[in-house]
Order: sequence, then structure tokens, then C-alpha cells
Amino acid sequence: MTLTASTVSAGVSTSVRPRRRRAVRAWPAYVAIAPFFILFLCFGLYPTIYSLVLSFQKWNGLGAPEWVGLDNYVRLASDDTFWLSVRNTFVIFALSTIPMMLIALVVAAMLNNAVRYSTTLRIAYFVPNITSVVAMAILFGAIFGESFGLANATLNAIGLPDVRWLSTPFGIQLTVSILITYQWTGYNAIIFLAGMQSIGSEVYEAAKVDGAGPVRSFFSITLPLLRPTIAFVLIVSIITGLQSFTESQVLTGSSSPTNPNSGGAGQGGLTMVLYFYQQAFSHSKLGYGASIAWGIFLIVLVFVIISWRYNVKREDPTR
Amino acid sequence: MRRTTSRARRPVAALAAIGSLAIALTACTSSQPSDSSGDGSMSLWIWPGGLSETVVETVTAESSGLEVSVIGDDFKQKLLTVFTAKSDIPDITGVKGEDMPYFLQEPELFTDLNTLDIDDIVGEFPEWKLAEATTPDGRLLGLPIDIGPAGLFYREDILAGAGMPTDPAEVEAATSTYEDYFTFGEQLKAATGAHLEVSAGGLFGKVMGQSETKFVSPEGEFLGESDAVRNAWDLAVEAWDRGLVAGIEDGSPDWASAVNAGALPMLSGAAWYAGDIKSNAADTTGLWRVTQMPGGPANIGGSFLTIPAAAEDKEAALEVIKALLSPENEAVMYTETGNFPARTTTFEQPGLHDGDDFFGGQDTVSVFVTAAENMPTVYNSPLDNQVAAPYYTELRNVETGKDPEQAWADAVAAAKEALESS
Repeated sequence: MTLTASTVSAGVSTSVRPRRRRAVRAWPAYVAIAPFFILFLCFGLYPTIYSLVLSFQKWNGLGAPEWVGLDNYVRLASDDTFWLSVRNTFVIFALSTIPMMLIALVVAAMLNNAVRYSTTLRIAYFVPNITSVVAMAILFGAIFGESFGLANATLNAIGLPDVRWLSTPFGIQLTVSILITYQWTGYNAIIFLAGMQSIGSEVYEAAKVDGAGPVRSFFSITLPLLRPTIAFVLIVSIITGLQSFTESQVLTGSSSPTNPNSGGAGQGGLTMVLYFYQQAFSHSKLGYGASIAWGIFLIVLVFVIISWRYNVKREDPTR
Repeated sequence: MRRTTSRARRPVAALAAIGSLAIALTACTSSQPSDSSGDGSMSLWIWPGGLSETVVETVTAESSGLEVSVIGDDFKQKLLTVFTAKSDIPDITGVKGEDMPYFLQEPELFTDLNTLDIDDIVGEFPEWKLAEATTPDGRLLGLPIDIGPAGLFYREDILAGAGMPTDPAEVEAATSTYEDYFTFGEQLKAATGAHLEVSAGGLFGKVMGQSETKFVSPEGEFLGESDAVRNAWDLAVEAWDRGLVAGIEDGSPDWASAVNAGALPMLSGAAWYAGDIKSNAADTTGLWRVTQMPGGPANIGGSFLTIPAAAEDKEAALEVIKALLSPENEAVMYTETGNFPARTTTFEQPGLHDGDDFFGGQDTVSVFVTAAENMPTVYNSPLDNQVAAPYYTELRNVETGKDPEQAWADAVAAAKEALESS
């Protein structure tokens, strides 16, 4: 449909006509793009604006909401549990994103040079990303189980002591990070691979002539030319990583009717979004939940701006 | 050439555009006509496993026009959505026991069953359970489907191997108070290395379940520092200090492995907890027994059927509820789902006292009937869950080495904050 719309408008734009008639003639194009905008208005923009209104209210989901002004935000700023969830999120983000980017780069470089089975390998690396997160989290729960899990059994087999994966705050953060790394490495490797394949082979050939080995050309050619792709992957990782939810929700056994969605031992798995979910839906504080959601939005925004500006600045001299 | 192609495509493009616009517009409007508007049809909402499938089939065949929707995932949230949207509200809906205090805040959404003809059956439900669905001004919003009387499940073979009493009556006598129960657990641990309790929070929750007061009074006062809460806290910490707590998550893969391995030979929980044990430890069939909880009976869970105020024909809806909750159908529900019947006359039905093979042929129903008869009447506040949450969090912290007194102080402070901010 996008294709049709662009062909139509391409045909129209070549002819010079009064503006109004052009708009009328292009009506199929507007109608064609309308479904997205109508759906976006209903299910994207309206809920977003409504949640902003809700964040100034106190509402338990039933009955009449009560206007409380900035109370929710004042409370949010002094809420220790919220700041704990911010810290948890950043720990999980760092523990998952840094290894994930490094492994993905290496995997992409190897895939780029793979001669045989490259399609099979690419599919294999992508599969973790399209597997249901819930199913994987349940599987990880079994692997990282305390006394009867596969991970500890393996550690014992090579003479190492048990690790308390799911009953210490750091253990939970580590397990969640491993799950996120497992899930996203392949996806990012494919993106890196696409970026690497757009680098012309003549650049490498020139480097070869100048006497650069494979390692030297990776650091001096691949990495610098890959910077836009790295920036893209980093920004997407920030947005998804700072909103991680499902992994810790399922791994910390949050389905119990007593104290649901609390993030496990020491609330180590309580990410920002999980805290929002707990306040809004387990404790029926929808207004406060909405203010947490907007707090998360601001934090994500700040970090996206930082990483974006950093990348643009670094790119300027080359342009 | 490109131009001709685009011209030829134009009518097709317009058609496709209109078609997708139509789809988008229908997605935005609610599908209204499914609402029951005097055509005799009736809708019922229940979550998976909330009612027995056989019973639903029987009742659907008898009453024409009944449509049962099994709603998965977050049932309360979906019910809330139709109440807020004021459209597609079912004529009858299940409400989970833990969600009832929440819905009691807005009794206008439901029909007061006292205004209908329920005199013939209301006496057959336990008063303490009806109290859970009654507003302070006496409106009854729901009739109970099932209740969750708790019992103490134990592995007969492991107790026998440790040279401990194995008969349900003897075990009950040896574990009637928590003090005796902990001593029993220490002997068991010395002989087998097994733990008595799954988690400190789990024990805390069960002791709170036995208490007549919870975390918030009917007047909305904070009870988080009351003797009842402190007693439950102290028992949980004591059990942890004496090494009786395994410190794992109830229902987790670790829990299932431990139950199978016999590392958790004594488990206390509601009647429906037997279903969890059966499905996770099928190999231990015949080795389990059940007796009364230490420290008195507790109720954990148990659901209701309600008639939303928007229902068209409330009398007809009540007739459907009466049919679903007949003693015959309640007996079918128990054998099929393991949900323990709320209607007391169910236990006169043949076959219910025949014994359960998983429990070595023991008449488990009688154990839970006794527990249900001695159940205290309690007040559950809609704010209980959020005020209770910090205690569970801090007990987890005690399990990872936090000083219990510091944990108690932090729990009380966080619980007060949770109550004040709601």
C-alpha cells in the first residue's frame, strides 16, 4: 500500500496545478495513509494524552477520579522504591547492553566473513529474538533455579560453588541481563551485518594494499564506518533496555496473589516499568502509575538525547 | 511508461484505500450489537478453571440463550474495562475472592442479591464467606462458588522414615500450635534434612490468613503494627532463625523439584493447593496425607458469581447462578477442578467422601469441611494488598541477611506510606 501511495503521489507531483486541485486529486493517497493515522490516534496518541491527564489525578480504576495536581510527581521524586527501580534498570541495562553490543559486533564480523551456511547461521542467530519472551523467561527460571537448576549443576560439575541466581538482588539482575543479552544479540548482529555489508569492498582492498591485516582493518575501517549503525543500535537498546519488564516480571515469580510484581529478593528485579505496572495494576493506583510512566519517559528521553548528541558531534568532522 | 502504470492503478489504489479505511474505522468503534437487549440471551464471564466445564455444558443446555465466555489473563482488568466503557457488560460474572474487596468499593456496579429471591439457598453458604461479598451497609454482591479452607499436606513415607507420627490425627495433635509445629519441624530436619516451610513470606501470609484482623481496619486505620501482624512476623522470623525455611519461591521450578525430591515434605495451603501438588509431583501419588493447619483454620481464595447492575433480566440471571451452584453441580466441580464447594449441602452428595487416591484413599473432604466450619469471619480491606506488600518484601530481605528488627521498621514505614498515599 505504501508503494501504491508513493507511485500515485510521484505521478501527481510532476504536473503543475493549483494547490487545491492537487490535494483533491491526491485523495486516494490521503485515504491510503489514513488507516495508520486513525489507528494511531485511537490507540497511540489518545491513550498517551489521557495518561498525562491521569498522572495529575488519583484514581483506583472505579468511581470518580480526584484531581490532585502535582502531588503524584512530588511523591515520585521522594519515592525510594522508584529510585531503587531506576537504579535496578540501569544496572540491568549496563549488564546486558555492553556485552550484547560487543558480542553482536564480533558475531556480525564473523558472519560477514562466513563462506558457508551464512543464511542458516543468520537465521539461527535471529531465532532467540522471535521466541516468546515469556516462554524463554520460564525456561531461564528452570535453568537458573537455586538448588535444582541446570546452571548450578554445571557449575558444581566443574567444581564451582552454587550461585544464588534468583534469591539475591544482584543474582536476579545478572540472570535478567543474561536473558536480555541472549534475546537481543542475534538481532543486533544482523543489523551490524547489514551496516558492514554496505561498506564498499574497495575501501578494504585499499587497506590491504597499504598492508593492513584483518584486525587493523576491523578497527580502522569497519568500526569508524559503522558508527551510524552503532548509534542506531545504541539508541534502540536504550529505549528497549530502559523499558525492560517481561523478563523480570516472569523470572521473579510475580504471579503470586500476595505481593505480586515486587521484583523478587531485595526487589532486585524491580525495573521502572515493573514498578509502574505494580502500582497501577496490582495496587490499583492508576494516577500514580501514570506519573511513574511519565517519569520513565523523561529518563529515557534524557538518555536518548545524550547518546544522539554525542554521536552527531563525533560525526561532524567527517562530514 | 511509469505514468501509464500509475494511471491504470489509480482505481485499484482508491479501492484498496477505501477498504483499509473501513477496516480501521471498524477497529475504532465498539462491536455493539452483541449486547443482550431483551432477546432473552444472557452472557456469563468466567476465567479458565473458574467453573467446571461439564457444569457449564449442562447448564447451557438447560437454559436457552446462555453464552459463557471464558476470559483469560487479567480477568479483573478486563471486567474493569467493560464497567468503565459501560458497554458489553456481562449479565453474570465471576469475581475472584482477592478482587472482591476492590469491587465492594463500588457496589452500584452490581445487583444487591438481597433484593432478589435468594432465601432458599443463601443459608447453605458459610456466613464468613458471604461476609466477604457484603458491603458495610449490608448489600450482598455475590454468591460464593468455592472456598479455600487450608490444610497441612504431608508426605507419610518421609515422616515414617524419620520415625515421626504419620496418622492424620496424630500429626494434627503433634502440630496443633506453631510452637509444637516448629519443634516437629526441627525433629524432621534433624532426621531427613528437609525443610518445614517454603518461604518466610509464605508462612507470614498463612498466619495472617488465620487472623481475624488484617492490615487495615474497616474504618481505614493502619493495623500494620497490631499484635496480629507482629505475631505473624515473629513466627516467620523465628522459623527462619531455626533453619526451618527453604527460602524458595512457592510454585517455582525450584519448588516443584524440591516437592518431588521430598525436600519439602510438609506443605500448608488451601484445598486447591492439592491440585498444584498433584500436577507438579504426580510420581508421589498415594504418599500424601492431609490434616488441620497448625494454629487454626485459614481461608485462602475462593470466588463469587455476581450480577452486574446493567444486567437486563436479573431474575433469570439468578436462576442461572442457582443452577450453576446446585449441590449436584458443585460436587461435579469439586471432582473436576478441585475447587472446594462453598455450598455446604454439597457434602451430602454421594461419592464425595470416597477418598482420594493421591492421598492414599484418605477422605480429604472431611478435613476441609471441619476447617471451613471453624473459619473466623474477617474484614478484607481493598488496600490490604498494597499495605501488606512491604512485609513480604522485607521478609525476603531477612532471608538474604537483613537484620529482622531493621526490616520490621522499614516494612512498617513503607506500609504506612502505602496507606497514606492511596
